[in-house]
Amino acid sequence: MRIEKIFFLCDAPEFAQLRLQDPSTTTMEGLIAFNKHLLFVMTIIVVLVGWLLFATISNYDEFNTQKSQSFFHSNALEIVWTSLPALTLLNLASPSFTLLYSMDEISTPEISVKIIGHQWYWSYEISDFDTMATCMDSDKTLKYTCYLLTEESISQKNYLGFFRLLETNKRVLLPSNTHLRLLVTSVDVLHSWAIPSFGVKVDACPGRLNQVNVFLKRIGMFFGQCSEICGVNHGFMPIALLVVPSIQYHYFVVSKLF
Amino acid sequence: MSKINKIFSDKIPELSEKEEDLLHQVKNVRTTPRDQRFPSQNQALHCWNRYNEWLLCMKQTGSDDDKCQVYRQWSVSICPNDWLENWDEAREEGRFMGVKI
Ligand SMILES: [Cu+2]
Repeated sequence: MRIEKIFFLCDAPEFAQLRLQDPSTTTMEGLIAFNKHLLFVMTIIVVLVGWLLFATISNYDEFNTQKSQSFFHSNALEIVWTSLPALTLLNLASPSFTLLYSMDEISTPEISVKIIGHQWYWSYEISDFDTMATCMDSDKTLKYTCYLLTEESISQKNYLGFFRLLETNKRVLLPSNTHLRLLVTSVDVLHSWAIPSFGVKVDACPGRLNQVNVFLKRIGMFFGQCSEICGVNHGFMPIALLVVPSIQYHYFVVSKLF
Repeated sequence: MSKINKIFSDKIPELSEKEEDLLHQVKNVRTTPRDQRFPSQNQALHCWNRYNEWLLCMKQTGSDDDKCQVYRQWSVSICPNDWLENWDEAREEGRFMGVKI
């Protein structure tokens, strides 16, 4: 993928944004498609119901019953206005369930990322290379503790172009085109790990290890925020992920651990 | 920003034979496989089970680290380090609820 392209995609919220962020997983693509389908059906319903209301109000009143007499206790009408909503619901349910079940499609993960919520920051652990590292006489592991980059530090020159309240002091590196297993947990209260571009929002509960599988289709910087009210600094524990091609990720692991 | 651009656009430098070999090894690392017994979203029991499988292996082989390395790695891969530390500590103090060596 060309470098310029990643900066044209919307992977972080914009000011007064109305639309969803650009998808980077098939899950999110499915969610967006379903959202569009829903809006289409909703528009039809709103127009139809609005038109019916308007027509009824303007055409009939207590003195004008000529027309309404002709379909009083009408069987055909009863059948139509019972089956129409049922069919509409069916039309919504079928893609909804398809999406739901395709979302927990399971695959063989290649890398596990443990995501731990704290009051008030996220920490990450990737321990898959631990054995390899100890074999190579190195006890380094991939661990990230990501605190919010404060406004003062962002205003410094080397942070130009950074997002306010979205950047962390360390960015988590993840490989693209790799089956990832995310294990989300917490050590204190409920948090929620959410990345709009991935279509992922998982609660972090103490004592639970919530698993989600993601397959990132493209590289880029992705941002998210804690999405379960967890205390005073709930709004100040963002998530910043840097997704690189898997080959570069492997190279990063080699250079970092050995 | 320049740092990100660098990460994305940098060509992978020429690798020495040793690095090439390491890269190959890193590529072939696979995390803990899925377990049919734990199909649910909550993998806490999966983690607990992998940890005890490692302990069982240690028990059966008489604490042979090399033979049980795979099991150790599989438990390390999916258990949060906090939990592992807790359990290791509990084993030392003799209050561990799982497999006893
Ligand atoms: Cu929160």
